Amino acid sequence: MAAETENLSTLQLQFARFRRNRLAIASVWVLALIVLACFLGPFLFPFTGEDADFDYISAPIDFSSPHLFGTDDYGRDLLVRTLEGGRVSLTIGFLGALVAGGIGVLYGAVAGFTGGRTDSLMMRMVEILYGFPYVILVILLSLLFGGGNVALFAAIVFTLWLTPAVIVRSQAEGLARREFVEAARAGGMTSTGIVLRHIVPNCFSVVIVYGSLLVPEVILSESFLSFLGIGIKEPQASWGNLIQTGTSAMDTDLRLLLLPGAFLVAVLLCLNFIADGLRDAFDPNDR
Amino acid sequence: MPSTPMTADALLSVRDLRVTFRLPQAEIRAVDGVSFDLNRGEVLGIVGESGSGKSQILFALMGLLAGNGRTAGEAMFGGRNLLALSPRELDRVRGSEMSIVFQDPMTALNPYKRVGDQLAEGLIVHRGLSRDAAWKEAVAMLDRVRIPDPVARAKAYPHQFSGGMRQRVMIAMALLMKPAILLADEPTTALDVTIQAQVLDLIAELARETGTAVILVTHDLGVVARACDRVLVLYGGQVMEEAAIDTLFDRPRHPYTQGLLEAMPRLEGEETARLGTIPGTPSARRGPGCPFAPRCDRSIAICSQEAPMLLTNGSHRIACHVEGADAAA
Amino acid sequence: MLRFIGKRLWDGGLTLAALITLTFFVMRLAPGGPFSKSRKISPEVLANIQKTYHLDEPVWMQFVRYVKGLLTFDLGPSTRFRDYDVGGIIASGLPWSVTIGIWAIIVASLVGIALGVAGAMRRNSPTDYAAGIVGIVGVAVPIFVIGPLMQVIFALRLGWVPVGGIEGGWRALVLPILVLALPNIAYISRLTRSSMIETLRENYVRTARAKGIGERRVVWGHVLKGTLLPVIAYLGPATAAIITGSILIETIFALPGIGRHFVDAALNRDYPLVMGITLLYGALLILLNIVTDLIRAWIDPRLRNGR
Repeated sequence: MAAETENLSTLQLQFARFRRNRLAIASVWVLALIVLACFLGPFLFPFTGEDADFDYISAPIDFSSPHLFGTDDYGRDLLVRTLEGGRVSLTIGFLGALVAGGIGVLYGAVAGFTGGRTDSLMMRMVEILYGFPYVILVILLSLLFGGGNVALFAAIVFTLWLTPAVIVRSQAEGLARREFVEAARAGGMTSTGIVLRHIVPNCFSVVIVYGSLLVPEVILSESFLSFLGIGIKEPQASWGNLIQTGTSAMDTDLRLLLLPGAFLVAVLLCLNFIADGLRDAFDPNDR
Repeated sequence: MPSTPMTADALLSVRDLRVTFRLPQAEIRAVDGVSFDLNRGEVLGIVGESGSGKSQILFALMGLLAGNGRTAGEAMFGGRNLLALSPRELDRVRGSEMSIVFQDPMTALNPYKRVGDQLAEGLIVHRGLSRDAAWKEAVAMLDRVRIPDPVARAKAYPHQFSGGMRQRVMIAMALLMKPAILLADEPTTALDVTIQAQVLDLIAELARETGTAVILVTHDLGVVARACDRVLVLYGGQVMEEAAIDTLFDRPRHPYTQGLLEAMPRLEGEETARLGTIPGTPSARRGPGCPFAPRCDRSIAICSQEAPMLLTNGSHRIACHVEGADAAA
Repeated sequence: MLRFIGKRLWDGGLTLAALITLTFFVMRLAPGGPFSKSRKISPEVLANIQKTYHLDEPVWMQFVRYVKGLLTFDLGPSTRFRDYDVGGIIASGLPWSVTIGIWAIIVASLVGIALGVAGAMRRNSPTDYAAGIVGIVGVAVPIFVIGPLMQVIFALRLGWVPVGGIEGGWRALVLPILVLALPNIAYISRLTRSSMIETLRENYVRTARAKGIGERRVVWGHVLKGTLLPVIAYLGPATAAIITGSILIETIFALPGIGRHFVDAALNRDYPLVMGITLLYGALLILLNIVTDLIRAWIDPRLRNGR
């Protein structure tokens, strides 16, 4: 009990510290704006990103036309496609980080708490998976799952849970020896109960710090694969495949590359600033 | 100004030394107007609780303060003011004419370099010796601090030494150039009790042989009693009392010194007597008066309003409104 | 020391074995075979082709056959480029990939360490801020955005270097190497900076200063080793990042390296080629991790007899 209330107050302290970081807070706002634009923006237009408008093929930027940032070779609105692509990228990013982080935290908590042979076996497996070239693994897995959004998602999650697992394990190993865990055990709490009630909540700070780094990593992986033609495929839009389309037209029309590229870079910048801010706030001995 | 020089030809004379640290919220005065002399060949103890600023005096003399630290005052050594030297001039003094032994031997040696190389480095730079000649001297020095099998041990890395042995290495490194002054910052605090006496005796013995004067900073009066000729008692960055060792232990005048001595366990005397304690803890807040006044059981009205002067009576100096008054009288 | 190397090699072998097994079965279980795309083939011809590639055998027998082949360094024939075997295709692409990979690592290490050291020695100076900006850009701007932009600026607009391909000698490789190095420059400079700041606070650095050996000797003789340890530890992961990056770089700049072969092979389900390149990448990664550990043990004597 005492441990929990103490936790709460340090948490408040940490969030207060985060709020003082102006760059991070500005990033939160910009990111919120982009998320809002991607999820609500497309509804403001009378067409979707997959509707071809034959009156405007490869139209340039023209704020007086219905297509503000112009269209692609098929007459599809670039801005709407970019926003819709953002939906996919952002959803996969946050959901992927959440799921990969969740798996990693549980795996690491169980391994660190159990200790002994189970622990070394579990960590051995992580070590072996770590030895795999990560992108190769993603590509192979997304082939195994037969392509498509779910497959891509599964592949990314499968390769990104390792780091949180390792970090949480070392944290949990220390926690397992602490008095309040000892007390819970003496009080007859089950191991599952201890892991869920004591170990996982006490890893919160580390999880926040490293979890925030997972989001940009997932987004980058998704757009990377989509860029190569392995991830999200046409006609569905994602920032990765939009940029790919943009590069094939870059000698004539940079707009197709720059718009989705700018969105992606802005999101990655914001996420990195936020992650930096969280690290400074939650992990002060890191500097 | 209590800057009366006590001996005309002191080896090192420190006058009104101040060390301040600038923090984002505040400025901390770690050393607040300390003056003392160090004579040739003597061992001067500086005693005080943690946070009394005693280590910062040594760091200030060696130019090793943390980046946010500033010094004021004067520290004359061989005609130069140590506090006003350029980095290059300072480097000519450090390590050759004046050297230091740190508190924690576990972290004070470079884990990536052979012990022999770390010793030889100073000889190569200061005396221009070849690597071979420097190693030979380094090995001889390791032998003098009684490290067994010095030829082989010089090739070893610090993690292959025990704490006591590492401190011997540090002492060897500090005395290698036969400096005029050796500064020792709690040199035995991090060591096992059984080793402490050995290391202390080693420092005293070698210093006597080489004619090196020592400033020994410690919180342990037992260490002072064993090794020092003269003692400076520090509280809140200021000198409370200064006396020859016998005077201090037999007739301590300052209430703080008396408290310290009562808190020290003794072997002789009534065994049932309880150890004395000084109530309260050193506080960072500083009023205009005597820094010890808030914890002093003999303080009077003036103590918290006005800082006491450091009054001299022969070689005995004391800063106290209560005790100092009858000294002057 | 020998035991240390032996253990690492054994661990690496285990990882490689797991990688071989996993890749093999993933490729076999993935929907769609190498010949399912070309529908015009008659059933008899298909059966015939499957026979030549042993695709008609049970999966476990194919696996045994493959492992046997591996032991003699035979990676099997490519199913897409009918006249080539996988070994040959890899041999033709590898020099390109290795060239840009090694140069990218060199550029990234030199520039990254220099920026990091400069930042740590003069904290909050203009140099520090400039290095910080490079760090942020390198981390947040993906290769496949900055790559095409550089192509537009330096190849299409300024015409200093070719857009892509391998004509034009070293000029053709400048952009790919720079773009590939950029994320690693960013990461290495951030790592170096924080590591150096930490090392400068170490007690043994204070000891070195106390010896009066001069600031230059303090930095070169005492600070640098401690600073570089984590940076060297990162070189293993950096190789992985370079491999990842080279897949993109070779696609963007149309270079005939193995990264591009890998993507083509994966998209066309050319199992043997995918397997071969995967194994090569895996082995490379494992080997470099071992080399990294050896260099660290060489610098840090405490790591030598441990573990």
